[in-house]
Amino acid sequence: MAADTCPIFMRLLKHAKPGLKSLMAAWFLLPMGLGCILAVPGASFARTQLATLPMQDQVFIRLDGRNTALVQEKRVLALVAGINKIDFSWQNVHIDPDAVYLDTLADPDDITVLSVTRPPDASALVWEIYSSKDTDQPVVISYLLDGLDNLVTYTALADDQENTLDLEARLILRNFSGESFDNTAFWLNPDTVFNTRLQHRETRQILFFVQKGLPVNKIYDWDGRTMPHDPENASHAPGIPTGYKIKNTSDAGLGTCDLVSGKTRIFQEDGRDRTIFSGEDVMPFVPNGGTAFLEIGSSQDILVSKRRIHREQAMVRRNNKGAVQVFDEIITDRFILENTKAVPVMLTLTDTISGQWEPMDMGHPYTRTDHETLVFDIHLDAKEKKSIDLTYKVVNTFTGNFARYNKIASGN
Amino acid sequence: MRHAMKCNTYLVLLVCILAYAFPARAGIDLTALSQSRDIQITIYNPADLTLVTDSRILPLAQGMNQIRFSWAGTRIDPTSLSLAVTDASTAVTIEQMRFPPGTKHLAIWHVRAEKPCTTAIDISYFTSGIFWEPHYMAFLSQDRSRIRLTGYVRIQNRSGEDYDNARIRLVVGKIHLLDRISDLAQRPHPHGRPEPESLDNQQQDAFARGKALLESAPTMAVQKSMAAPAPKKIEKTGLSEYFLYTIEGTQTIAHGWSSQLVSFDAPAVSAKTIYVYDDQRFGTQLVQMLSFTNGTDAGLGKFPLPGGVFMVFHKIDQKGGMTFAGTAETDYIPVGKKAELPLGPDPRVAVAPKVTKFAKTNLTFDDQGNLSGFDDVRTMALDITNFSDQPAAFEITRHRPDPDFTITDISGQDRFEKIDQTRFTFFVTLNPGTKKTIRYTITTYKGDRKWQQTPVPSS
Repeated sequence: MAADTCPIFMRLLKHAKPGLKSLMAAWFLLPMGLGCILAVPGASFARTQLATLPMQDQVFIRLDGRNTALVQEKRVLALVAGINKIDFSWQNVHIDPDAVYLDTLADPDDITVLSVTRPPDASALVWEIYSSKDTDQPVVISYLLDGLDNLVTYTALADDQENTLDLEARLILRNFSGESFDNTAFWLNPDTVFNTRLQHRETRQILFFVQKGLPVNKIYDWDGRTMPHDPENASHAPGIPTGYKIKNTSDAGLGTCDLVSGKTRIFQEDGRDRTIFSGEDVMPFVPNGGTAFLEIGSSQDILVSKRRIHREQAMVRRNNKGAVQVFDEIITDRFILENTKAVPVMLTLTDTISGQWEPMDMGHPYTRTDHETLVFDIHLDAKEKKSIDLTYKVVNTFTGNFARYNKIASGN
Repeated sequence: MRHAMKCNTYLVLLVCILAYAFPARAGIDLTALSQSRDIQITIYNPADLTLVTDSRILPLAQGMNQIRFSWAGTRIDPTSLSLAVTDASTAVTIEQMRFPPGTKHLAIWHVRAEKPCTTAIDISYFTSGIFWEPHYMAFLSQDRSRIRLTGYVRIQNRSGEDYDNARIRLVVGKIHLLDRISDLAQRPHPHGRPEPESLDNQQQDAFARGKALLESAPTMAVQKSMAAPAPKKIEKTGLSEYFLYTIEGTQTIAHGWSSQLVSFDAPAVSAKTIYVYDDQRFGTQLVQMLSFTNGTDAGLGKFPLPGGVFMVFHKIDQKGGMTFAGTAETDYIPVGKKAELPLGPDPRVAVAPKVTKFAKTNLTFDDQGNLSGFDDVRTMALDITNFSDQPAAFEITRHRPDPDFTITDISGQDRFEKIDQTRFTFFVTLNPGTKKTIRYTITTYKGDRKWQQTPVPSS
């Protein structure tokens, strides 16, 4: 177990709820049965409902994010020399019979699966196994079981200054498969294996990861593609989405495993030993090294307006009849930014300029994420109000039939 | 046990021997046919068609013999019924076959024997309701470089009839049929009737009953009557446009049951896992693709693989531990051809194409001053990330709506290949936890520029 390389999973048991292990030995129902083994060399076929079951030595449930549970049971079959018929049947559970596989873990010269048949009720399989001798043979029976999956939820607690988060992750096992599991190893990936019991219709939540003091950046995220450009005159001002930007890196205390997608509830300390609920968002899948933005709500205290203050045509090309064919435009857009809060803030401003364009005087450093998308990271001091003018030239704007070529889709 | 199976139907074969001094009939004797039967079943896929040949030894009296054949409760096509004398040493003539009026599911052959004899006959017919399909299980090695590929054939019998100790052949290939055998089996009159059949309520009722029978029929089954020390081998041979799978020995397929037999087991087939981005095939999703070649590698390459469902598992240890990697369905895989199994996306691996720069250049105007053409110049970036714990190979295929373009300034790729005039593919491999960007410039000629372009060789 790569404990040092994957703290998310290492901490699974460390943070298990007290008393969890004590619950593991409780009862479970086994609607699935491995029927009796018949040594029937040369005998006519007979399917047997008798259920003298070899006990499961070990059960693994592999949950690797596909929402399909692969159950692997290790059992010991008492095989006799000759042909053995093994009846594997199930009731009140849904198993894909095409995906049931028996691995004898033995030399094929000693033990061979001869055939598989399925009776008319289709909730059973009959294996014919040839054994060269009497033996107790360990086997692994694997099958896909519907109705059993896992979720991850997060709880984050921000400090009152919103500089750090205490992040907790909980694994939620949902079992509506019809099968109960006792002392079963749940396998999420090579670094995450833990034992628990899980009854049918049971939902079990397990705290498996805590990271305290995770550094975060609180940002205000204004996106010109969705936000009103003149909120003061808009009938409804939705406010600017705000939240925390986190990095899944080792510098941040994470960075050894992927963060899987899950609902995230975010709270904040109020400075009086109490907490308030700030909001919730869905943590996206964040691979090792990636970043994510968790939105907690909208702020009415940061104001952003965008106004077009200048537009002029240049390089106008006309045909012989005087009709405009191609022209350029010089445009100046002004962003008016105001922080009415008593603390400084970081505003992420995203906007687009479509078509072919060239910067002239952009007023503030920016990152161009594709040909038309600009991202500005703007620091606003407490109570600061300022404006940024972007002056740029849109080149070769066509008219007429060629106008459809003025804008293109990103990615193509 | 046989009586435990659901078996609503049965097949009866009797010989009615008319011992008479021709032409007057002297009487009718009934003699049961010999029980020594040799049944051969040839099951087609995907057509719902099975050819059954029932070979028997038949005692015949001198003169005219009647052989009665009934099939109530089965899904046999009466138009396909055929009786052939296979023993050429006997003087036996099949004169006619009747479907007596007022009867259903009954045919009578009139067979003339020159003298008392015992002869061999084949009764053959088509039936519906017996299916076979291929099925595969693939087990990826831990490093994903090999797969253990096991092919199965699954036979299902919903025909209403049990076939004991039958020799079974399975046909791979598309066969041309004018009528569905299941329809022919449900007609109230074996060869129809002069009036439009749609006006026949009885026929509609029969269809409804047949459909209900099919829908309510329980699943599957083949069983073995004798123990065998090894799985039955399936011999594979080519025949015309078809491929024939012949199952070793005999097999009983009882109505309602299905069975699965190992068709082949290739323990170590070289395999590749690549990540394929092709927005016309898979949308904007990056698909994990497992590929292997049906070549002379580890037991493959000697026969085509019929299309079927692959269940793919990934071995994670030597103790039988594995994870479920996904399912994929493939078409027929000819010998020597590559099979591709799309296993779905992996969120840890991504490809994000974007336009980083856009320009319109080389504007042209006609003699009236109208804009007549230009070059659409886009600088593209394919941001590729591999956050998985294994090296990842990528095949990124891009499409253009028209062929008038050139590609220049390609960087970041391991290999570039122009597939055809509108498609090109980048190949690149990334180590675990790394990112890379493939860049290129694509210039598309619009309007008059299509005819004025300065050729720029694609690299």
